[in-house]
Amino acid sequence: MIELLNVSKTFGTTLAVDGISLKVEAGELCALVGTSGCGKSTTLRMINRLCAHSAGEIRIEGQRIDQLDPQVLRRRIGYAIQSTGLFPHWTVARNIAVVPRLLGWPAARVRERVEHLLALLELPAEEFAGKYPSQLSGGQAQRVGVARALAGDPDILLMDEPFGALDPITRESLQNELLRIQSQLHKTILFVTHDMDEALKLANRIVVMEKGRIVQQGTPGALLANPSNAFVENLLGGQERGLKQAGLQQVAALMQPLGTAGTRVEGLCIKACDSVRQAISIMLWQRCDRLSVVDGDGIQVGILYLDSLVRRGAP
Amino acid sequence: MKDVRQAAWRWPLLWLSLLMAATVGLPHFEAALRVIEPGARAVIYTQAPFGGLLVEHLLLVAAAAGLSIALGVGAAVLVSRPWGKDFLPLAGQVASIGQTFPPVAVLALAVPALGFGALPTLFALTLYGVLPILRNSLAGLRGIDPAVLEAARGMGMSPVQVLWQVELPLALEVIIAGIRTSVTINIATAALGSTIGASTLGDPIIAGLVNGNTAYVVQGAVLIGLLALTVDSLFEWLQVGAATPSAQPART
Repeated sequence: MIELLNVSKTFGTTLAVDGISLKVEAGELCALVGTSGCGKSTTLRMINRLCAHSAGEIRIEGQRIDQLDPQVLRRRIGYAIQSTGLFPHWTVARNIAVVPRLLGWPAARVRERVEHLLALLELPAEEFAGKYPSQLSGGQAQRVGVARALAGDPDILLMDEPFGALDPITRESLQNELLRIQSQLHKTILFVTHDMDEALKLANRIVVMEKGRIVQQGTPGALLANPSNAFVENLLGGQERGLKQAGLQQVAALMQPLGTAGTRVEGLCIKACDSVRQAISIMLWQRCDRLSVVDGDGIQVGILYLDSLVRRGAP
Repeated sequence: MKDVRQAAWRWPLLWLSLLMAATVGLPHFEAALRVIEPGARAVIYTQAPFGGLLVEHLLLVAAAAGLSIALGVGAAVLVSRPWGKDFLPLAGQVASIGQTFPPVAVLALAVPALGFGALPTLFALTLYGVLPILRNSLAGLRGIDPAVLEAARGMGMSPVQVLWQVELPLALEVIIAGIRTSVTINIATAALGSTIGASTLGDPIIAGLVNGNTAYVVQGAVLIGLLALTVDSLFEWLQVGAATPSAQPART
């Protein structure tokens, strides 16, 4: 659990972070969203004391961070950054082993942990353990960065635009990877991004920052339904809000269920767990106003009408 | 990679064998040296054995290098700490200005202060040798990707761990290049110590210049040249070994 209470940060005379209060519950993935220079990275770096807060109180797991030794604190918190910051003179395995070694784990446990993490991030150990960072692609390097952040088995993970420098396809696969890992590990994650789509996709809760202040926080659905001001609305994509909202809804919620047991459907259909956004896209592309909805085995479970999306679109 | 390292090993060995051969064999080349200086009474320098001069020359250069490394790397580390930042511009300027100073001038200025002999030579060599090392150490330490240092701190490394495990290994190749420049220059410069009473491989050169005996000069020059080539190629091999993997092309 991470708690910030009236935290401020001043650099000289400029106020970078202005009295923010924030609570990230255990197991929650909270996204900190805002434009460049809004203080979101500074907020993150204050939590592991890479930058000292000027006022207010920060606690992790109930302990005030200024009462902990900064090195001990940082070894308890995973940290992944956009440029990865991998150590170029060390192999992938040695990079991942940094925190376990700092924690003084026995060599056998470190080795086991490194192999476990390489497997978790789908980097085959025999291929990657001995490589150097310069021999990795951007996506692979970022996977190693995430593995390194997870290495000491921290409860808390701070991620500063970790996927910001990747191409859209690699970014999406890493986002899915993060969701998969989070569903297994249930870490407390604070994730900084300027990409609202990324936040909508990954986060349980979104915190929007502007000029060092928090302007709104809530679930992705709540933010889309009620943006508190024009800035938040703009971040949410203005006129495209409808599509983003549709992206958060499952087809299952809006379909007309079949009364009788369905049959196998061939051809045009959509899965019940897909998003309404995908359904709209298919309808637009295929110029049709209804889609068969199927379950994971391809058996029809309902029908989705374009009509019902317009009439019952609101969550 | 391996091939480069193996090839780099051959040069120091080659130059070292030539140096050893010259140290032992030069006195036997009277006939050849006679060609250079037909009229002289003696063409082989015999005031001191070459082996002894070589050892003294090397000791002087090595002592100066040790002091220069301690001073140069130490100063670079200090001014690149957060609390030493105020002295960073000063260190940079001193390093640049020092490069424009001729070594002979340093030597000449050291004598009034320290008298004659090995001590003023050691002082001058150290002072002149510090500058390339300081300059390269600064460049090496400041050339490290800030994200790497941020990550090192963020992982929970102590400042000392960041320095020893990350900064110095990453700057090592550039630092060694500075030491190489410093030592190579000083092998030549140390010969000037003979003018102020230090015993070096410059002795035959100075004696040759004073007596108008080119054969003496040639013997000193050959030995110093071979010594410089040996040490320089040794450093080249060291530099290849210290190169960070990031400097090598990816094999993917």
